[in-house]
Amino acid sequence: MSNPTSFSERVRESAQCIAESGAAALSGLYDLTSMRLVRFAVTITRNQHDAEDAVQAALVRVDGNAKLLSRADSPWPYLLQMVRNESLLILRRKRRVAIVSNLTDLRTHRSVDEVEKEESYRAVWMAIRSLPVEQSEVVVLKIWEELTFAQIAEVLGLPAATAASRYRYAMQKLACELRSKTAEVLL
Amino acid sequence: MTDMRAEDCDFDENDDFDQNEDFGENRVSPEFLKLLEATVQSAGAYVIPSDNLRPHTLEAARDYSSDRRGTYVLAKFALTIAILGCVSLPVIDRLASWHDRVNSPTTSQILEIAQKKSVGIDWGLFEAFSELRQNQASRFPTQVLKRK
Repeated sequence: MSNPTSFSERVRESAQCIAESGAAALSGLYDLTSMRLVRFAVTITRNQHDAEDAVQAALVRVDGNAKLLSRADSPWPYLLQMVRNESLLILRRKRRVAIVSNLTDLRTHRSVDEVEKEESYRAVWMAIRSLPVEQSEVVVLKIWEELTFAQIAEVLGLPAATAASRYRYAMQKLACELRSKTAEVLL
Repeated sequence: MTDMRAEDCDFDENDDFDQNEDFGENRVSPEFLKLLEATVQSAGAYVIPSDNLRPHTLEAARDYSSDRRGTYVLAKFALTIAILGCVSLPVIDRLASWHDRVNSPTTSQILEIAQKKSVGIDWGLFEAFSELRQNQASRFPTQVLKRK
């Protein structure tokens, strides 16, 4: 995983390209961020289709005003915040209670040498889905996006201490969940 | 895994806790936490975007950008029309006042004069023409010419 600061700078460069060249340069930002944005949005919407709608809406907004992103202090957390806002908008519009007991909506990828790890991956994703959204988004931002609690707090609009405590609770719950499924997952 | 003290998950999920708060019986050891984080980390790339998300996003961005451009052009056009209207209205008023001064009498005005003075249409034309010349002469700055 790349350093979040350097990744943020790459996001800024992509945003600058969009500001200069228009919609044609959006593909660069898409290729750089789409996977991360979708997996973050999936933890909020609990549905890949909705998550992709949120990511699409956020990227189209970036295309409309790329200078806003390129001038942000931390472009990557800012973009994550945009995707989160879009995800919450979609959730509010659909008024759907997210009760997900499987991963059938997800589009997954594994390389040949990771076939034996798929069970572990699925268990992790199921465990993350079993968490409340407030906790799962902190886990995603902390572990997959490698943000600090201060940055997470900025993205989620809450105090850093609250983000930290949510993370602790989430990890305890994940530990329970994964332990109860299989010991192999954690090996 | 044996270090984990969380035997059950019935802890309170209230959000506003201090960062250093002790989680009591539910505490997870640092070693186990690292293992757990590594496990979660490894599953990060498992979910990927759909194949059609990229073209859809780029197309939506193109549509949005062309819509915006169209709206911008339309707004610019409307603004130009409004400014032109504001500027040209006083000019049109001014021109209309000049139009009255230089305009020759119409046929209906000639007929009206002829009826009023009980004369024929040809004499009415003469009267109307005389009236017009008088009006024009009265508006002309004759005093300046007289001094000269």
